[in-house]
Amino acid sequence: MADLKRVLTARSVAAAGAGFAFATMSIVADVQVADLVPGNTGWIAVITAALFCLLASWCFAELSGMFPTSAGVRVYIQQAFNEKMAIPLSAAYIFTVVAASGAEAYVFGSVFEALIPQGPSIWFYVIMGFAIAGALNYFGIDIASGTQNFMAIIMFLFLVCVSLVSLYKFGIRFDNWYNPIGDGAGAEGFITAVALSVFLFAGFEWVTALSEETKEQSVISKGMIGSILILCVVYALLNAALVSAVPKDVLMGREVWTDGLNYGARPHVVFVKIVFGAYELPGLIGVGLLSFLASMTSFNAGILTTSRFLYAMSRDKTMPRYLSRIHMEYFTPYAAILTLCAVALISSILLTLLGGFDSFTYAVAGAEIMMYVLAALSVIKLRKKMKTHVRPFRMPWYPVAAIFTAVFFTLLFVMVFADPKAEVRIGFAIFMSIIAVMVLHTIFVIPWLRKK
Amino acid sequence: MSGINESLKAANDFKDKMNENMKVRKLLKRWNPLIHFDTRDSDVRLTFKMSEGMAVSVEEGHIGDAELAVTFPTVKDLIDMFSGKLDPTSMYLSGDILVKGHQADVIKLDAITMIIWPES
Repeated sequence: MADLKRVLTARSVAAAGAGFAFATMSIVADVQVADLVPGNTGWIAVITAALFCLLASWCFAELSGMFPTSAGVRVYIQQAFNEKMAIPLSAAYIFTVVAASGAEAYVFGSVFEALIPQGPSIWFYVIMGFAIAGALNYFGIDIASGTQNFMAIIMFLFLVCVSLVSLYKFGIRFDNWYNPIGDGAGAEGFITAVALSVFLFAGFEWVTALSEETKEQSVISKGMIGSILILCVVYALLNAALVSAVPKDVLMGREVWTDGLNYGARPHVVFVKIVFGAYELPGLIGVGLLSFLASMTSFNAGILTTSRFLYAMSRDKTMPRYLSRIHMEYFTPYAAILTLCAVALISSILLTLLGGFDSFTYAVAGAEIMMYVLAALSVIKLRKKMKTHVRPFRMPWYPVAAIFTAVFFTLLFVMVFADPKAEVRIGFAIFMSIIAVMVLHTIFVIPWLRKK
Repeated sequence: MSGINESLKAANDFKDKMNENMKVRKLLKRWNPLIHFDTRDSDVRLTFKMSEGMAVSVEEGHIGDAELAVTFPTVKDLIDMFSGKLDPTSMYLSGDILVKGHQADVIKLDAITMIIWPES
């Protein structure tokens, strides 16, 4: 292997993975998790999901070691199965993430609408968010990994500190903080809560796209484990703290708070108001900065990764040719970037007009769970198909761990979408529609594009 | 060494094609990387040196610390890529060609082949 001038470290990869996964919408999803289980036991669902995500991370570590490419999931599925399966599933996964950016923009806008009541409408913040992320990507402005690490650390420290203060100030609030299937709730709510908690970690595996920027494969596997652990601590603490400080009905937006506002899409705003009490101004400034950094990191990473993917698909004649246009000055796939920004903006317009932003957490959780199942199946298939291929990382306890990962996440997928709630049904419909479009695209459009 | 002469010839022809193409030169005007090439089936190793939009030299072996490192499955694939007979993007997307380096540089590398062989 050649000597490279610039390589990433495990610490940078861990911070990047945690930063990719953490968005303002994650806090909303953390609240949704808390609401699915009795008392203050949501943190148990978060930790359970983290343990299973660790299993999935072993699959990704083995696959990215075999194929250290930014084309990631598409390559793994193609090598294990075939191109006809790889294209629609990997593209559906990518487009679900892009569509979810619309939901993130909606949440981001509603936070600032609450923080600055006399300020501009939600549209201003939505458009501003995409404009900043789009411009960073269009002009190829590379945020140094040191800066990204620093921003991620600041965000996580803020949340951990506020959570600890809240738990110190309000205690656990509920008698039940240890039994998520107790109080007559049964196991169903807990299973759905674990499935939804997978959404909280969605994106940790995107660091496999950074395989090309590392020298040692162990950097990616260690980085993924590091990012899952960071996120687990942050989300579990936050989950317990949110429920300790604010009634669940207020966090979920079923009831307004005493100030007359509905905090459904911005539960952390009311949380910080309550925790900071008389000193709410610095807390609210912190929340504003947190939401800004979380959403921008999420938009930026989302557009960066997906635009490269779309560009590569276009070059491979599986997407329209115009998407492979490169900016002559900034060397960026500008057509793919602008298209993705437009798709995300349309998604947020539809969300704002029709409502139901919380459905996207289920759609993304579904896409993530599907990808974890495929990663486990790919590991199993490739162990048979490419026995002698170099594997810098081998999944421990194979085949039990791989089979368990595939079976567990398949069951989780079925359980999460078996829930009859409207937002779950809509989430499933969004996810299946994207897959259906990509399957039709593969059957009818790709042969035409390749013939052209 | 097996295939080194053919590889050097194909790489030098590619270098000349790059330097003749004004669009490539304009695109790469501020790009000054060292690029390492190697293959899995042989000892063939090349270093491509770029400076101010021009491909300055192709040398045998790996020289210095590179911005980009590209590994081909076979010497034939490497020669075919430099000759325009092989579509590097589809091989990259199928995981056959491995590239190490910053993602922005990977796109630049791909853009060169796209401009030189627009039909690839």
